[in-house]
Amino acid sequence: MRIPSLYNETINGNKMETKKKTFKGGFEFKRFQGNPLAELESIGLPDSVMYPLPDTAGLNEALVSKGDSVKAGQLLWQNDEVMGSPVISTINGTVESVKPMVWTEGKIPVITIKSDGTDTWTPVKGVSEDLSSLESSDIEETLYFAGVAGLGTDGIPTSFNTSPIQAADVKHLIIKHCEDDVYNADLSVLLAEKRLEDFNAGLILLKKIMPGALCHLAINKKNGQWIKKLSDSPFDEIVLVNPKYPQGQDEVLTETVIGKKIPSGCTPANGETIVLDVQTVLHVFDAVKTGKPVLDKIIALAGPGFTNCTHLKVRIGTSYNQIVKGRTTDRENRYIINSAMTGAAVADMARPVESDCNVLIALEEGRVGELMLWVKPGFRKHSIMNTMANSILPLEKINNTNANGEERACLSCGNCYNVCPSGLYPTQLFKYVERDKVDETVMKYGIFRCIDCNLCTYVCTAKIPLADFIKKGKAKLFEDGYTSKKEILSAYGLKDLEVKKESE
Amino acid sequence: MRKTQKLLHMVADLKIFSPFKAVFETIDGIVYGTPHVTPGAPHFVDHIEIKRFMIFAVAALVPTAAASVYFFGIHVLWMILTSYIVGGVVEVTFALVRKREIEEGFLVTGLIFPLILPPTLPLWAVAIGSVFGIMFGKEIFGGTGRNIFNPALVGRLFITMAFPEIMSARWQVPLADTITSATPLTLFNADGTVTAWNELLFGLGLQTGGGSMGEVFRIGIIAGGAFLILSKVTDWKIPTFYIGTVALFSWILSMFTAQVAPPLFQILSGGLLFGAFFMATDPVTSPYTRMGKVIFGVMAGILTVLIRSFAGYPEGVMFSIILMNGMTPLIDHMVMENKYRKSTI
Repeated sequence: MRIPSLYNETINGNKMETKKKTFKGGFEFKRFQGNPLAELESIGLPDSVMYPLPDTAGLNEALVSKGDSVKAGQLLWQNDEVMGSPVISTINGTVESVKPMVWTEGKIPVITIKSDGTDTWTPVKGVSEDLSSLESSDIEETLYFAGVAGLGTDGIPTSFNTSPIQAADVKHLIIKHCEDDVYNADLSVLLAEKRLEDFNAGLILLKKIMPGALCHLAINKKNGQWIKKLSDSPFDEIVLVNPKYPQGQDEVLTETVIGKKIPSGCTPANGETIVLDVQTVLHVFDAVKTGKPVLDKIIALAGPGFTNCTHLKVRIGTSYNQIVKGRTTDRENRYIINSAMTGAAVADMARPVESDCNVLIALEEGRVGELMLWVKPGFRKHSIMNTMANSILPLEKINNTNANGEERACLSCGNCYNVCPSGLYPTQLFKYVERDKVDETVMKYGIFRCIDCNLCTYVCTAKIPLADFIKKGKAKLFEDGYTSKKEILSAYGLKDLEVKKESE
Repeated sequence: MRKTQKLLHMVADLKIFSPFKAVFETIDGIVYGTPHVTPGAPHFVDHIEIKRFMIFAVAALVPTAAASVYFFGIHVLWMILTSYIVGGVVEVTFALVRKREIEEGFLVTGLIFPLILPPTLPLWAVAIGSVFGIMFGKEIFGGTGRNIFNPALVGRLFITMAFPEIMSARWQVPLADTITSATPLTLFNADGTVTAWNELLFGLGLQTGGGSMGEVFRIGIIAGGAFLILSKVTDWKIPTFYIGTVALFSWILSMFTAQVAPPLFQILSGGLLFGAFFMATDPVTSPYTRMGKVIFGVMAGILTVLIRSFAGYPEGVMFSIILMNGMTPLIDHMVMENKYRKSTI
């Protein structure tokens, strides 16, 4: 197994270690049109909210039925058999319906609640003002009933079934704010109004739950203001990372920070690591200190499709329609959740915001090609190629969803493996999958090291959807029985969490 | 979609034009750009595309081409036009017969090919070389992206073999009245004359008999090559290691035998700079692995010095690049096998 070299450099050897770390490959997105401003607006209470239940849940599992009146913070669904966090009402009102609806994953039960217009919430039980005297089991219970424990890729491990990993087994806790994607939330909005102290307190609470974990902060090295402010926070290590995509993806971040390669289909939990973002730490503090469940999220609105790119405080369950109303241009837009590179487009604007949404991007659908685009110098075009020095020009770069060219035969130009964060040759894997030669050879060439960051498709000169082909190849290998998740985990020296659970 | 674009699509959809679908698609792509949007993540893509990629290579060749026209007269312009028209017809014909899109690769091949020919070559020879190069250098392998040898070099090799008498014809020294007989390299092989470096660099008062017209204006070649490397169209490794190896290897050999010319003369004479910047860096026919690029450059450099000094042909660049083109798949395979020798998943 090959581990890409990491560049470590100690800045100061004081009480806390501050290290610069990065990875080979990647691509820096700079100066994009429509980056969110450092402002926070609140859109107020929504008229009605929707909560999709997990696809494993049955219709009769809902704890409320039509006509019931509910309070913000009340449990709507709970099942400790299935891994995850309970579903919580985020407004006061009456249940309008509990019925199956067609969703992305198929037909799933959805609860609709009509607001009564009041802005109160019921605190979670077991809240204490004195944080230092709390037992870790109290914190875990509070986090579970506040709905915080389900945030993040692997959730926060508690004594309830909220994470694939047990709290005692976590060796590393990584808090990330890498600002590596095209559009990112602004840290000075998330930590505004003295929230920094709350953040530090939340961190101590998390450390109490996971006593065996080293606490790392991964932060954009160009964000000098916040590196300074966060240097007094109770971290064991501050890692300054390059803001190049896909540094913020959990798999890459884990490898950069603790040196463990996480292959495709596995999560940091397999490497005894939990990765959380800044907002989750604040939710932890709020839940334990004031008993406030996860009612709202700060969502950054970004992209040229919005007339005013800002941050919004939004109740979870609010429909996307309500969020974007009056804030968009009148052109046809595509709305994307979290990342323009890997995120899913919002299929139906009537659907609600879920708790994993941090950024909402609006990109104009580029259905009209630009005249003679290929001979124009790209002063306002962001490209891996330095088209007429565009990479150093301080102009905002235009982007829309236009495909920017027709698909052609691969030239082996080398863009895809120069940016690949896993050190793969995507064009070779593509050629194998395209010719349907999916066997041990592509496994040997590291197809499972691919973490689906889609950067190869982004930079491809021939406009080949390389990442899609690699995804297809991986699915086919599982289908044809060449390998299993168990084999991958043991090959990469990672922990198979499912096996452990069965033996217990 | 624009109204004129819709009109073009309507005309293209007429039944009588159905065999020429690829031509309409190309016009559509060149003028209007694509009306397609990304199907899913990633929701937006880089602005680089093959046409843009190729037009940068063409732009880097413009100084060289302009200097050739200036040095050798208007005939050069006709040669370039012939190459483009004949090459374009071959490319389009193959695309139509195969019912595939027209690949933009001939934008560069069509300009490189005349630049590696002697400036007095008759137009019919240019046409024959162009047809042969594109057909047997590229299309029979499956078109752009699948060819093993550089099509321009295949064409040049063919007319060197088929018409030796016109390839070695003599012509005027640029901007001078004398008739020349030999290139600097032939001169060196004959009596050990080393042409001064400043003459070589600017290409003035130079003899290029049997050589190629594109290699004369060396400042322009270096500027074009630097432009390609800075704009990230080509990788720096192949030209650097190719030229570096020629310098180092010839320096070592020239200490033992007078048959080998000194390093600076080696670099600035013959087609080395043109070959290193524009021919060896062809992404299709050179290795894609990073280590492979280094091996390619070093081996091509050694071959160039050996062929120049000890073989019958004084111009070693063309042969060394075409030999290394043939070895490219092997180099890539060995580098890949070595990199993943311990890997199973």
